[in-house]
Amino acid sequence: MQTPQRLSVTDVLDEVDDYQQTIESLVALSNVVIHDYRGQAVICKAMRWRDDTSKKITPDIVAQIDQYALVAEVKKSLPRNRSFWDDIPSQLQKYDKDLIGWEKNPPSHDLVLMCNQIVSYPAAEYLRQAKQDGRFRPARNLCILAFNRNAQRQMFVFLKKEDGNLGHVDLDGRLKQGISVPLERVLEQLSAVKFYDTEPSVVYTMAVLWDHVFPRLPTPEQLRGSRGRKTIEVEASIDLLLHELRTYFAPPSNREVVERKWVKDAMNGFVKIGLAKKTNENDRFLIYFKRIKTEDTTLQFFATKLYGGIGSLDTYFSLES
Amino acid sequence: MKTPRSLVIPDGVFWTVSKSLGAHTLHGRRRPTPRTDGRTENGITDQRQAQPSVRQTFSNGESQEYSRFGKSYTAPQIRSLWVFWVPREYRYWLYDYEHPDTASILLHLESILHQNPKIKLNLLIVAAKVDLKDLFEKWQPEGYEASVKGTSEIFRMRLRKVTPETEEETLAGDILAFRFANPVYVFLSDQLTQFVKHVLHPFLDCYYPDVLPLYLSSYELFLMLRGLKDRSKGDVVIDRLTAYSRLEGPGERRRIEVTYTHETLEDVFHRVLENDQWVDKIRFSLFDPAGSLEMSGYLSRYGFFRCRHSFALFFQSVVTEAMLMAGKKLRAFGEKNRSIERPSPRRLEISYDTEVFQGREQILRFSEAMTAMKFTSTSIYHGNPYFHASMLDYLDGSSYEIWVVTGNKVHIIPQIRASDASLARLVNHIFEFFKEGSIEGYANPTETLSH
Repeated sequence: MQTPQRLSVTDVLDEVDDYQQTIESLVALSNVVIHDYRGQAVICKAMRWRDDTSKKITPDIVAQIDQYALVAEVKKSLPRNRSFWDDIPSQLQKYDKDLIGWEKNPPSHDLVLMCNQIVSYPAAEYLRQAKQDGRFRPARNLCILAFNRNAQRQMFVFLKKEDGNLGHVDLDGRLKQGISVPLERVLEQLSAVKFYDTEPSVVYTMAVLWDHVFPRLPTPEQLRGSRGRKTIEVEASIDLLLHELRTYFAPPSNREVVERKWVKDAMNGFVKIGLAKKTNENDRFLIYFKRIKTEDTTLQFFATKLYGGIGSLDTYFSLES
Repeated sequence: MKTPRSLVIPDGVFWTVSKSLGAHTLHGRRRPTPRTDGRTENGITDQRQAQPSVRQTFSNGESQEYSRFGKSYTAPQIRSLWVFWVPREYRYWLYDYEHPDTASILLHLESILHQNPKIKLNLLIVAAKVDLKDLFEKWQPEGYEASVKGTSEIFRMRLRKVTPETEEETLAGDILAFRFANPVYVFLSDQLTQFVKHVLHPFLDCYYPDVLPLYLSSYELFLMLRGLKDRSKGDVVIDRLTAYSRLEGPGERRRIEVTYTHETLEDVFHRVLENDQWVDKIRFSLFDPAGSLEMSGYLSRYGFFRCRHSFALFFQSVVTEAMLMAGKKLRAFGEKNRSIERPSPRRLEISYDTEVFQGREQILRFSEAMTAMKFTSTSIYHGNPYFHASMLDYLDGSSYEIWVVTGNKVHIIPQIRASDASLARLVNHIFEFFKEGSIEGYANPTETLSH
């Protein structure tokens, strides 16, 4: 496992927050389509090109309202180095083709790029420029959609059109004004979908495994004997853990988005902080399941154990040298 | 210092020696006389003929006469013996007699409390979906010895907390238990309150999540007492109230206040609500319409009750109500976990009638309350301006998502493993350490308290 050495605990926790906020935006847009328009919206659905069915692509959202359709890709943040921004048009171009895999075959579909409100304007400017200078020539409608969390009397995910147009007139008009999706409305989905097709921070995968998957491994007798105090040793394979994550925390339409590598990295993380040990058998681990006694929360505990001590500038520069 | 060396126990007397929290108690009782003698109503033996006696001999040769005849019993391990002498023959009807049904228990206990006004009967009410007699016989937690006799519906239990040999104290006591309405069990004991709190209660805790304590809200405690008052047509006066108050300061959670009062039930609960307090324990007296004391008792939010003078009235109102509430909670909190057959989560919602989460401080206070829950850990994803955390209960492996995304609600989303016991524990913790609210499974304070 390669631990990104330059990350601080704060960076890691921000990365986790970014990941969750991205899932919130996906769930929110899906909810608008399903709840407000009685349409269909699927997170991370596998689609194929009509002209080359061997090629599989996985847009972050595929949505349909009657004969109208859109595919959306999310970019929570953009690299500081603008030379890497060229990936955005090339990713969108992958969806700018006739696709198969729809519930009802639509005549065409729109392209949507979802960005955090902080980066939505520069992203829209960049794509406008790319279209002007001919680097990006989408054959379909392209819309840049900004998302953000918004705290009023209750928490919302706020979706607002930053640039471009959608073929669905009503949805386009509403997004121009901005749509607030109350988090309260989508709590079940947010509790069930914890991964999409982008690799999360290893700390995040560790927290999901520890909080929701490991507790299922001990028998009731082991738990009763431990009484929340003693360490319980349980063995698990990567395959089993991967199966659990896919069954309960991946988007229902595409369970395969959770990759084996993510689980393996997380287990190696547990080994590194002394909460698991590799067994002689390949890809099997002995997990030391016990109550974590810390002033921090579990997430912070894992982040601090893995990345703590390299958060200060002094340590950072010593690593650089 | 004189040291007791032997005891003389008369023939025909049952005896037990128990040591409970420093108090060494000798319980002696005669085999009760048959009910045919006409003098033993409901089978309670006449106290005069039932008094057994003992002789206590000390190492310096002195002796204490408690016995006229009998055989000698040597107890070399006993260093000091504190003999409480209260006629204990009624205990036969509590712990030895094989009651055929609950009605028999009620009849005998009512008689016992009427004839022995000093007796305090302790009750512990728990919910359990499994057969507890069977469970106790199959597995006993380390540090306890329980001998169980009877049927699955009504059983007697001798429970002993095993202490290391180096320690002198042995905590032991008798219990009568019965299943009143599936899945609710009532445990009865005349032992010292400390026995129930420090032996029986921790013993039952070891069976979590199969045994679920009865968590009650302030409003439910009020309803029980109001039911008692209505049934008796008398007046309930609160003698002592233990209540929690919220503290607003950083790091402060709650303050406990004990108030000695002689106010009416309604006055006390009005004050509790007005002061934003929540009730932990209540000691009360019930007076009949003529103003005579009819019974006195004690209720706690963990389902530990006590009564004196009358049992039938207490059982018919308070205990029956408690059992209905326990059943309601189990139904509300049961089978909320996700599974292969039902992967979609199902939410539980605690709602408040005011915007309790206005401001960052209240979210922070809630967050502190969550991290303070025993035997759990939390992964807090967001603590400001809204709250989202995963919580893991190490006692049985239950896990949840907890959300606060509006000003007046807490949402709990059970994950793959989520037992009813753990959910009830979590909800009670929020009620106790943050604020009581409304949730399915609890009685809702939709009615206003009336004078």
